[in-house]
Amino acid sequence: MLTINKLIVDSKLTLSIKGVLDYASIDIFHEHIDIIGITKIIIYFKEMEFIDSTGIGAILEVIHLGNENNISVELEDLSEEAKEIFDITGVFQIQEALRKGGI
Amino acid sequence: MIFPKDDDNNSDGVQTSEEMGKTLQREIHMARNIQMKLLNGEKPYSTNGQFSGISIPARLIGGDYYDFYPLYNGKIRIIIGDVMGKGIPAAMLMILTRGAFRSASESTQSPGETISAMNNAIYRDLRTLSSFVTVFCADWDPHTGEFTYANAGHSLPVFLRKGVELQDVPQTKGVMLGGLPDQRYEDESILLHDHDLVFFYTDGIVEAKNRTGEMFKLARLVHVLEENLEQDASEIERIVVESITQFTQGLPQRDDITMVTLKIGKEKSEIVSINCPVLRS
Repeated sequence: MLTINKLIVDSKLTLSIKGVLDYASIDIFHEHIDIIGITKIIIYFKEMEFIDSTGIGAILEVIHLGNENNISVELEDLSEEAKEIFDITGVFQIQEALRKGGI
Repeated sequence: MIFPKDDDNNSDGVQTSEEMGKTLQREIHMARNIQMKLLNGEKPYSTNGQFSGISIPARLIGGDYYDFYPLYNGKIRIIIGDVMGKGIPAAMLMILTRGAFRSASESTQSPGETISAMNNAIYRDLRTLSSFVTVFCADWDPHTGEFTYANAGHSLPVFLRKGVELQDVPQTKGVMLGGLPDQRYEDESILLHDHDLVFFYTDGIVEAKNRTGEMFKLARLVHVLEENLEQDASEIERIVVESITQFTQGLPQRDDITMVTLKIGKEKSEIVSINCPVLRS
């Protein structure tokens, strides 16, 4: 089960993920990604219980989308487990490389 | 070539939804057969060690991948991988990954070079499809025991020696295939001894859940391996599968499950060739 709390203040989009971000729930996440008029996206993971490869792919898509549209993307309140998964797969490295440019 | 039978179509030559469903089902089963044959084909054989590998898709077909590739220098290249997602889309990309691995293995000198070549070959396709693949690749030299490996976003295998998990194995990590272009993947190396066990796995094993929502977890996997270190590679594989089945208590499998077991040791090997590993089904 996945719940997304979405908040837009000025041009900042905040998404708080609660529950399981996986193959079965990914459409719910996609429904909340609308970048028109947005200059900053913050995704909070504090209440995320589990993420699978499809969920990681969705987060990467937001990172790439941000890079292509000059929108900064921040990943906040990651659990140690989620940090480890993002670290092993290379999500942080991709984020850093895109931030530095040239991709 | 298979031609559609006349009764696949109605009088207008257009398939009904029921007929389309049957066609789709038939084609998925054919795709499953293709994937299973490619995955469970030739296994390497060495006088100095045993190999085993199995992939159990959560659906009819899956996105996990493992492969063995004997090199001309006598080493055996091993890869395990996990394509993002599940089912047919993941299976299609698994075949793409397999082709990239086999092609890269022909022309590269180390696991790191192989992964770099694979990423160069399929990066654009994966980006276009918003997908990625994690892989761990290793070369094992049956004569020296050297085990060289590189990693693109995958979990490290479990290394066991004398009944306990090796904790001081050099860590290596790199970005998943499809993550960034022009990546270099560093090689690390350790020396394996008789009776050592290297267990490659995908996350479907450690993330398998039971009825209370508890995960199988790496610690439980390591415990099962430690308890059964004396067994043959294929028996260890069977025991791990059984442990997961018992743990999940009959719940439907949520993710593809894949494992490769490399057990070092001479005792239960039959000599086929003095110098070089051979393939056998």
